Amino acid sequence: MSKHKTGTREEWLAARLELLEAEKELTRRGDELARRRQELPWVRVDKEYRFETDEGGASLADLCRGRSQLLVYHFMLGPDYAAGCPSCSTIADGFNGFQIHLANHDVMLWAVSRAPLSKLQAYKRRLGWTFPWASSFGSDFNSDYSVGFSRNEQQRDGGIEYNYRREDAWKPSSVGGSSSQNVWGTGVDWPTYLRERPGVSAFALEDSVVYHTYSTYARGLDGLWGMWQWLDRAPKGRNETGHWWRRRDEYDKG
Amino acid sequence: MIDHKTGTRKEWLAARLELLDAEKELTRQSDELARRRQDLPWVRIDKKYSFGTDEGSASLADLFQGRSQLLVYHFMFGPDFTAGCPTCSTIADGFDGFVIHLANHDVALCAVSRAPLAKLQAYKRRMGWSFPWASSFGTDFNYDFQVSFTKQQQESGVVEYNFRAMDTASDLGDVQARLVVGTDAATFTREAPGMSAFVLEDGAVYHTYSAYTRGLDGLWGMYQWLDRAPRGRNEQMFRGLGDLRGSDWYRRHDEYDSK
Repeated sequence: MSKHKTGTREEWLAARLELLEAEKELTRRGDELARRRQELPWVRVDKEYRFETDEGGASLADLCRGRSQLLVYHFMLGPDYAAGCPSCSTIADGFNGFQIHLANHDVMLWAVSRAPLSKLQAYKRRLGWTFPWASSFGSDFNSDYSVGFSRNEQQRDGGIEYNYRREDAWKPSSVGGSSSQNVWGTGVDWPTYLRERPGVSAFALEDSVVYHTYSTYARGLDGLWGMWQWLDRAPKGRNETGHWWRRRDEYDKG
Repeated sequence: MIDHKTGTRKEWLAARLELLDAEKELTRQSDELARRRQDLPWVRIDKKYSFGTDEGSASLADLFQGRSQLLVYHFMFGPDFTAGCPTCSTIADGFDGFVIHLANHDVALCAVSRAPLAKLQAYKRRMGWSFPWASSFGTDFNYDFQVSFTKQQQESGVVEYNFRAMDTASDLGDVQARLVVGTDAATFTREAPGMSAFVLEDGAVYHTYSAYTRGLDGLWGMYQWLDRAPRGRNEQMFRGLGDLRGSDWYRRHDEYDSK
């Protein structure tokens, strides 16, 4: 006998209909927030950033590739990492499949990371991805969009501002006292790992000028993470106590 | 000068922080709904369904492939279609990449469609997908979970979909339907999209949850990303069946001109 409450189809339906009302309300509020995002003032980007791409050096405007909109996924792969962040890799497993649709709807979706291009290319080959991925190595881009920090910033209170909040200085106890020198197979220790952060930034290109329109971080990315959204509909939900996911090529076969 | 309101970094930040609070509230609300979904009573499935799969014929319990949870995407691909629904194909382009993570977290994600298995296999090969896809051809499965309708139901003008009576009128024309899936509009709209969740315990399968139409919105990666783009979804919608809305800017991923 199941420990979970079971019921008849009628009982289920009554509960489901009640939940449906709440779900519809959530969808409407989601639509409303999407409208509000579009109403944010655009901020002109005057700084010249240089990126390295498969096609050579590129400006921020070049990343738009003829589209009027650009979405950047700030993928955690710092210059010292030996492999990309496994969590970022699970979100990339999703957008890798549909970025082509966005590219045909006036929106270029890129990943941008601080590691040199050759590292990004090698990791992308390993995971079998095709989305465009630019290196911001040596530029201020990650720092300006609050997803890349220096050792110095990390060591002082308020040195890091992430998700619109200032953080305390790094302490080893910040991540449960773990002293790993190879966090999640990235080949780096905790402080190095955490000098990179995940996020999404949106830009618009108009009359050859690039504007920053939106950035989101931390759980602001939740809705973009296909895996979590599907789990939110599963009988046991996210059902997690820790870091259960691996890179797609790290699971046992079968 | 551009039409959109521009501002200083400071002005943007003030507006962004206000929006951030609303976004956090939405995230909390979404977490709460996820909890409520888990609280729904489970309904035991006593009917025997037999599906066609790459590994041969399978029961609903077999689709779990050793996991305790099963998520089914009801992919619109009727027996007469010459190709899968292009809209369903865009959601599949997303989950194809992360099915492997769910499979390693006690959740099997499987697409199910009414077309015979050989059609599903051919289309899956064409699209380069690897997620499991079962055929419910000849079974009641799609009808029981309200994602397929009989000709008779359709001709009555009203079908039960998304937990209510839905009128079957559609803006979709035969010419368009033929272009897209190779059937007339009526045949196309006898299939509908949805997702259903099941749990397996002590050899019994229970139905836990189903969602339809915009209940799938949060699962549609492409749309969630567009909701963060400067111009949003930026589309004109046409009316499919009842509440269903379609759009015509996207194609199957092998139907775009390259670059």
